[in-house]
Amino acid sequence: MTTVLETIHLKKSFGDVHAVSDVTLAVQKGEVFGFLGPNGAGKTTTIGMILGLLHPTGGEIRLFGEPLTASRTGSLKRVGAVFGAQATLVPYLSARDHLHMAARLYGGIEKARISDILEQVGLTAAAHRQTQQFSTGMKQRLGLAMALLHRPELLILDEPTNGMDPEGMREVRNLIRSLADNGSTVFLSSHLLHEIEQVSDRVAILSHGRILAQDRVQNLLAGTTMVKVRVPNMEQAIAVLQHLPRVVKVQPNGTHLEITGLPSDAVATHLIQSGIIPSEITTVQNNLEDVFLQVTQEVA
Amino acid sequence: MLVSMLKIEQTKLFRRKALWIELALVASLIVLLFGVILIIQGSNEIPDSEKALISSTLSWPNGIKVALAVSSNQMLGALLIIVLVSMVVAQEYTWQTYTLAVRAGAPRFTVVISKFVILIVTVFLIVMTALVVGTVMTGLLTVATGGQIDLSRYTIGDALFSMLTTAYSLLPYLALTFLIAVITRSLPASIGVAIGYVFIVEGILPGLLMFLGGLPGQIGMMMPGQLASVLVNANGQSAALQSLGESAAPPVPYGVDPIVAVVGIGLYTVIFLAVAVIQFQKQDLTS
Repeated sequence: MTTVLETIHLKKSFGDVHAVSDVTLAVQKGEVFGFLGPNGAGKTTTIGMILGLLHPTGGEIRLFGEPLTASRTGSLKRVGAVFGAQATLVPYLSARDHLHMAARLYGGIEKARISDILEQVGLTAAAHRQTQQFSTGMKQRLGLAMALLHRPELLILDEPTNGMDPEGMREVRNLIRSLADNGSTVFLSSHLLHEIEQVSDRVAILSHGRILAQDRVQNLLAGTTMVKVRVPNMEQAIAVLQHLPRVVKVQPNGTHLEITGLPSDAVATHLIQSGIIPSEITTVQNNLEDVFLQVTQEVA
Repeated sequence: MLVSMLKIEQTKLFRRKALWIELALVASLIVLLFGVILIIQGSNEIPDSEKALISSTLSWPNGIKVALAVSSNQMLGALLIIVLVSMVVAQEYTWQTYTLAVRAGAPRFTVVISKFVILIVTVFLIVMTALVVGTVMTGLLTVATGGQIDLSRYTIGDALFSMLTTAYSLLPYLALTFLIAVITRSLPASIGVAIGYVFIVEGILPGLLMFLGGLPGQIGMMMPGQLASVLVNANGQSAALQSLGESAAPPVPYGVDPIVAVVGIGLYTVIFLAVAVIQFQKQDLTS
């Protein structure tokens, strides 16, 4: 596997405030890497450092194996990015003007590519309109077009579907997957956890400027299947289940008991063997949101 | 990369309405000035001696100098530069469009220098507009008042030299506003501080320092506005303005040598630009 992007003990402080305390992550070629974190976790600061928009206080960034420093930014040419809550655009210039500007910045882009990319993001009809007349979704589409124009090897997307309608969001998800399938690497930061879950191969969860978890999505979800049982005596059931091997958590929740770490048949067997007859057993498959909340709440 | 950045800056500048409004303002003011003179020429209420004095001031080639003075630091020039530079530099922080170039791997030095270079072009455009419109209007007025256009009295070389010195005298205002815009990252703050500097610091301080004499007086003479005035005076623009009754030109009782003024203006420009570049290199462009 080739590492496309690597951050090693990355730090950024603003005076006494440590926005990013210790971020070490590695993004492999051809994968979609989800970057999760609650508001204020340090996601934007981390991406800002990766894109050269602010300088780290400590640590190292490597893009395509080359260190990224204030004086060595050449590797950024191989990166495309949508950054910030809203695409950064000059309001009195048109969509086509912006793409011409981007073409000049990256170089070696044929004219036909501009028309192609406009069509790909659905902005052909609005190509000559000033961007100040664009909706938020249209601005995001243009931002995406500018990021994709030079066929980047690494695409960094910070909230790429912000302001888009559901159809646009689905298109972007499909686009991200197809880019990865064609060998591009995507670093995706979003607060929409289901979006990340749907498209990502691996995710990192950031909180208070630190990476709390970093793994393949299925690994993070594994072991998070929860069994809910309704039993006549909850204390007795807790006493039976909580010391069993592989049990991660036994927790009462209203009329039910929630057990994490054991499959439903094992839960039922142990309860019945102890003389506790459950009146109801259901299995709940946790999603990334549950994992995210669990990980971030443990730290909080 | 510098060439690409310059082309991008050129596109952004030439699509800005503010640039064309400012150029139109310079042209309109000059046309208005000459138009008023033409109306006066036709009036029976003005004595012939005064008419002759006014027409000689605005006829070939003096009228060109008056028109150029409109674009100098002594009249509209500094103000127009402050407004346009503030817009071009500070607004891009608001739009976050600096990030486009930086995240494409453009060195920050190239980003900031290309913007400065394109703003120098703006200065030349403003002065050139004054020169071209002034030359046309001077020619028309001269012909209208029965005068003669003697090209040997104002050659292309004279025109280029006048344009160059006028534009050069505006560079400290460009560089200072550039620096303020980079530091404040705000359009109103940039315009406010730069105009405050021109009217309060340059309007009061040099006179006060020169009144004190000695070292303070010498410091007063070395302030950007005073050095710019030395160049404009050397061009004959101040004299032309004063003969029209304009009081905008500050008196330079014991100004420095024009060569010293040229060096001083260059130093101010380089220092302001260097500080702006250093500041831009360190800035957080994520917000």
